[in-house]
Amino acid sequence: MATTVNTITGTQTMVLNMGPQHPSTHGVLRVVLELDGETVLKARTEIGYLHTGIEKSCEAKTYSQAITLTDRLDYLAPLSNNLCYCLAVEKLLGLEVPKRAQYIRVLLTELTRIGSHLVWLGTHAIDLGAMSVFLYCFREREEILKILEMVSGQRMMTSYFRIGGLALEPPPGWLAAVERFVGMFPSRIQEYEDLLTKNRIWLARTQGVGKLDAEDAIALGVSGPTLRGSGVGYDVRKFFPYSSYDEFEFEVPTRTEGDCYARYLVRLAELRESLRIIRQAMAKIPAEGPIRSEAPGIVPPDREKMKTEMEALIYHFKIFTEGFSPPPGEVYQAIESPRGELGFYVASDGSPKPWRVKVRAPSFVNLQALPKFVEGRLIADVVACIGTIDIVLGEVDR
Amino acid sequence: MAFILKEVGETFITLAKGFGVTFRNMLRKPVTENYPDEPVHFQARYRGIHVLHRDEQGLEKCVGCFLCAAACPANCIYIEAAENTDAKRISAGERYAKVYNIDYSRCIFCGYCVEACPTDAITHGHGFELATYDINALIYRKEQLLEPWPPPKRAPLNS
Ligand code: SF4
Ligand code: SF4
Repeated sequence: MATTVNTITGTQTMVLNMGPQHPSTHGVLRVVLELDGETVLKARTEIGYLHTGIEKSCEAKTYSQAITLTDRLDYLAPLSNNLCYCLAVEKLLGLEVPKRAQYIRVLLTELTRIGSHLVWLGTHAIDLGAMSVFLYCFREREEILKILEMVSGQRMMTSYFRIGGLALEPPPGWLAAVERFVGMFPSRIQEYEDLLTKNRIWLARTQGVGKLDAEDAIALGVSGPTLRGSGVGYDVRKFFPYSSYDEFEFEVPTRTEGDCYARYLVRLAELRESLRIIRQAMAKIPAEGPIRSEAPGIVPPDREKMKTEMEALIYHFKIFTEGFSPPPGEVYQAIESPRGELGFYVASDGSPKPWRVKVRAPSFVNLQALPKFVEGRLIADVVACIGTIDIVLGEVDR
Repeated sequence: MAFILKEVGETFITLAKGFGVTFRNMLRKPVTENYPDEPVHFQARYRGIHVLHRDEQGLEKCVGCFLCAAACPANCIYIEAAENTDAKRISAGERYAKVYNIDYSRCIFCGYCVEACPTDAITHGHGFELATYDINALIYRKEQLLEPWPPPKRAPLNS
């Protein structure tokens, strides 16, 4: 804590560190606040407390080994990261993924989006004092994690997508589990709405707080619900469709108010849109068909083939010992993660390991809007504003 | 006046709605897992502590090919292979793994080793209770990972 006297007005300002061990900073974010009484004059975000070196580590792994690292970036939406990285490498290789795998990817990433939004809603609400919403959200998220565990084997660090398709055939009965969730969830969204949307405390804490107009939002480069809450309807799924998103029907919810409440409404509407996409995907996924593309030397052959055919076995050995070498070149691939535009830039020098992997993390960019949100407002609003950006520090400090 | 009445009315409606949700949830079944008093419920595919398998004759399936070690992103599998002899046959193949260690202080349970193994020798079990006070105890040796032989008698699965 430090105090400085303003020589002109004679008032004192105080510098206060919020975080990095503050429960409402959602990880280890430190915000340096200059305060006049309870009013925030200046806010500066200090990041780097969770630096993992994931981007650098990718350079020491083969292309497919690096998938496991991407899980750990945005750990609330591991499948979105897996998807984006795989799409980037597939672009580099010019690889086409079978439709069945594409639909399954869409379904699972939308489930991840719901799961991630539930964590956001729960933690945002508990930051502002609504305990029960938190518990209800995590209860529903548990159902999603169970589906992910059923399909991939892990609740969070899924590593389920592979370059060229999926790791495993989804187990029998998984669609029934998704169906159960999809049937149950709409009434649960209604419950969250009943608890919060008209709640007077919620309105007082979020309406008019953390204002960001469209111009500033675009200038700062924010994306995702943070941008759409300011009235800009940009969604990568609509503008640069990937993984067959152009075959799905869904709306991009936007609000024009640009405050925390608007972003809350946008995300709740997104939950419903994701459900819509999941329903369409369930109808689209063919019961049978390949889950990986045919690309000898790049995509591991089927296990059955590997055990019976000599050629397949040789490819299997080659892929797991050396990996594969894409042609030299660089690609950028963006997807709409729950937090906004997630991008992977992958550069290859023709060796089996990426020469450079750069992540355009939506949390990192969206965090730049925090000073805009809080300057001139009360300290209590800082908590609401950090919550509304929905940052994941694993992605900010990669 | 009318404004105040409207506001009071709305407040009461939202309060009633909110408490309605709370009340409904009080009547629902709890979803908490009572670990450790009750076992944890895993899905069949759960990736837990590895198991090294044997074939029907009780020979080890692992042929010491090093594929799992090469595929492992965390570099946590250590293998020393040795030749089988007719007098001492450990696996059906030419070689077997004399030493097979997995360092669980590094393993990330990604399943790449299972995917890589050409003989289905290694799979994930459902074990997960790894916590220990001694980090060296996290290096699991072949004896700890290997399926017991002869297999213990199990009650038939009734699912
Ligand atoms: S699960 Fe992954 S990290 Fe663990 S031993 Fe297997 S390949 Fe290595
Ligand atoms: S476990 Fe499988 S992959 Fe690993 S050395 Fe043994 S046979 Fe090879």
